[in-house]
Amino acid sequence: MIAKGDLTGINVSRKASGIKPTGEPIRVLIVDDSMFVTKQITQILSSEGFVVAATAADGKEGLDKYKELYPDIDLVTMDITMPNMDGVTALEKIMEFDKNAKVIMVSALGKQDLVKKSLLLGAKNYIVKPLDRVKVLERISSVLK
Amino acid sequence: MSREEIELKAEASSAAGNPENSELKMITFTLADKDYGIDIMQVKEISRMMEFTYIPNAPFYVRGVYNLRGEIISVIDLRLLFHLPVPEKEPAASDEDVENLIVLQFGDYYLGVVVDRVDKVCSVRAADVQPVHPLFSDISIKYINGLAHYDGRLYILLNVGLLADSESAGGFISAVSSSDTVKPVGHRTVAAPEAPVSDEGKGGALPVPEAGENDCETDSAEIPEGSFPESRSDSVGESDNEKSFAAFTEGLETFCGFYINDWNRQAIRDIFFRYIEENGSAPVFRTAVEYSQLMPFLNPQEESLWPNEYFDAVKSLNPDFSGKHFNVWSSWCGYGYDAYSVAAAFLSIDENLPLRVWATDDDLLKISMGPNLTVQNVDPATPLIDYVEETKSGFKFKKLLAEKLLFEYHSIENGNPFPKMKFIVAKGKISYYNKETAGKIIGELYAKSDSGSYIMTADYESLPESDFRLVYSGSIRIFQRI
Amino acid sequence: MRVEYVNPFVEAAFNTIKTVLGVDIVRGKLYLKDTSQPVLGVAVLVGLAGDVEGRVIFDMERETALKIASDMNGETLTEMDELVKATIMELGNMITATAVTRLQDLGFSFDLTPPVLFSGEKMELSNSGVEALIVPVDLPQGRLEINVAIRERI
Repeated sequence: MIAKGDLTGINVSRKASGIKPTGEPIRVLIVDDSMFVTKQITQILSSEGFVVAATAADGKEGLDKYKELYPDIDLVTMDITMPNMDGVTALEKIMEFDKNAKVIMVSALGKQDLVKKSLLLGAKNYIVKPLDRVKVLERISSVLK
Repeated sequence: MSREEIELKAEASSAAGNPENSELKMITFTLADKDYGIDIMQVKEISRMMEFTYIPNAPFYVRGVYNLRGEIISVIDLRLLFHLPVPEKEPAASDEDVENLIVLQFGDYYLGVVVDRVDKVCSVRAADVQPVHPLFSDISIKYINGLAHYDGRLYILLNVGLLADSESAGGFISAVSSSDTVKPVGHRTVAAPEAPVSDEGKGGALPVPEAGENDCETDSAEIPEGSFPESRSDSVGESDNEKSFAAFTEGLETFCGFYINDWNRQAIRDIFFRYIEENGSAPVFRTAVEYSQLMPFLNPQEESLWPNEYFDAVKSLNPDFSGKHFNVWSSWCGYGYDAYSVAAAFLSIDENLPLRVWATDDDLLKISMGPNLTVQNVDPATPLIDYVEETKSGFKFKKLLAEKLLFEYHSIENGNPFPKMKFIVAKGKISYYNKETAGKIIGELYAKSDSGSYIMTADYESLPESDFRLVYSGSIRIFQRI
Repeated sequence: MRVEYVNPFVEAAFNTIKTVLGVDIVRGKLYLKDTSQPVLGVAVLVGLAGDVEGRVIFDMERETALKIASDMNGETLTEMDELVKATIMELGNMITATAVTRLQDLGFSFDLTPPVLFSGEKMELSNSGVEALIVPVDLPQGRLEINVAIRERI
């Protein structure tokens, strides 16, 4: 059980995990059609030193932004259900473009089949909504290792 | 808002929360020396009524309207509604003509109820409120929510929501608030008063005539024209009997919550006139017990699996099994006894029948048990015995049978997307809906049947001969649509 | 509506709200309704597909939506802006998705469509003939009415 504060909490005593050993921040692209989820992920990541390099509201925009930012992008969070181009298709296209892309799927419950498909297509991990701050950071750091 | 009232509300709201252990606060009062209670959440305040304005042509239990600090509310007398004695007022007493009034709140309109004496506020655990046996009470069971024990006394917890229904005072409330000198107190207002009509069997508003126009042409016992298939009003004596019959059915509604409709009218008339023949006079009943002695089917029956007679009756139909699916509807299925039984009846005739049984009820608690129903006894003489397996907790139905059933939380008053049904179980429930709703339900059952479809009813129910043929008659009946 | 569907929706609503808002909820009595009804001000609709067809509507007053969105975002929001709308839609989406997952676990094949939000004064939801299960939820932020209508594909 998490309280509402956990979703947006700022004070974390652990060492910030959003910084590379070189001292540079990790750059993230957030692809989600929900402004609320984008904001949540931004808050969680910013508090740990990550930099949100760009956000995109659908799969097509996400793919375009990835190509635009490449290679100056370290991580993508990808919603599954989105208009124009869904997250699974966007993932597939990003993987075609950059086979080393690190994409984490963000999914509501009820989409297990699509999550499995995404993992087969090359997604590195997944996060289930409602977003839990600790879990989000855990999953992301496991991908970055 | 009185201070007393504010305190009551504050206490009451603090009790809200965990529904399992929740406390129910009730205001207690007496009617004819018996203790009653009303959920405090529905009480606006307690008042003493000095003067009220008489309303002509209102139902007998309506005392009139009362001006509660500028708000005009209608007032009914619970003692009159429940046919209980009203104590004589002592003329010398200082509080002459003062009545104890509990003001109830339904959404944004109010209703005053007159009682003998307001007693106290007490709380009971909601879990301790027990269902009431129909024989226990002097008043119709439909007005009772349950029995509450408190401090060694028994309180009858009233279902006051029903008072706001169209069956009781609701229609009246709306009429009262329609006068243009009166501020409307709710959304149930009607535009203008119309000529008086009889309220017999009417679900809607009862318009009240302008004061002075009262020429007493309305008699609550009067029978609306064309209401009965065969007129018996040729002679004076028979016309009296018709009036008695109307009074008899009105009592049936009030005491038993049982309404006359197209399905039961003939049987109830037969019972009534047979009584007159045997006793020389019309029955005048004042309690549910008296009614149920004459009509045993009024006693609530425990749900049970079908006896062999029903299975034999279904078998004797030689139903036509052609078609892609054989759809069956168990309406008012309750826990599902009828639904499992009817499924077993058809599967035992043809084990490969593409059977689908829709089992519906609007009692969520009961129907939730349906998919996993466990029974303690199964009559080995019935086909059901082939479809159960014994477990530690009792007999469960085999998958072979259970998978044919689809339990739906559904009110028959609402529409449904079901296909046409080959067989419908609809016994003994329609009479507990008012005329308007019963008409709607009968229409629904009609719409879901087709030529050749069967409808199973109670033994006192009949479907119109113009459309249905009686194909079995015993302790249940089966009709086939022509 | 099949009885098996009732509890997953009720549980999903209560668990999700408790997790996301961290508040205690008073559960109202469940009931059925088939008439058109006024929309309180803000309504989120999530469609259902699969073995069934149907939809879930989350209906609340504007004030309630603002308070819920404020609490979910950890800041005070006073206008029905894009963030408030996105937040309320996400709540509807999470609740429905949780229910659908539970139903999938029970062996029913359900899928959901992205949420749609309606807001405005004096709106009415009109689909008479479609019976809906009403789950009233009382929150410190106000009342949320969850309106679930599901029918089997026959």
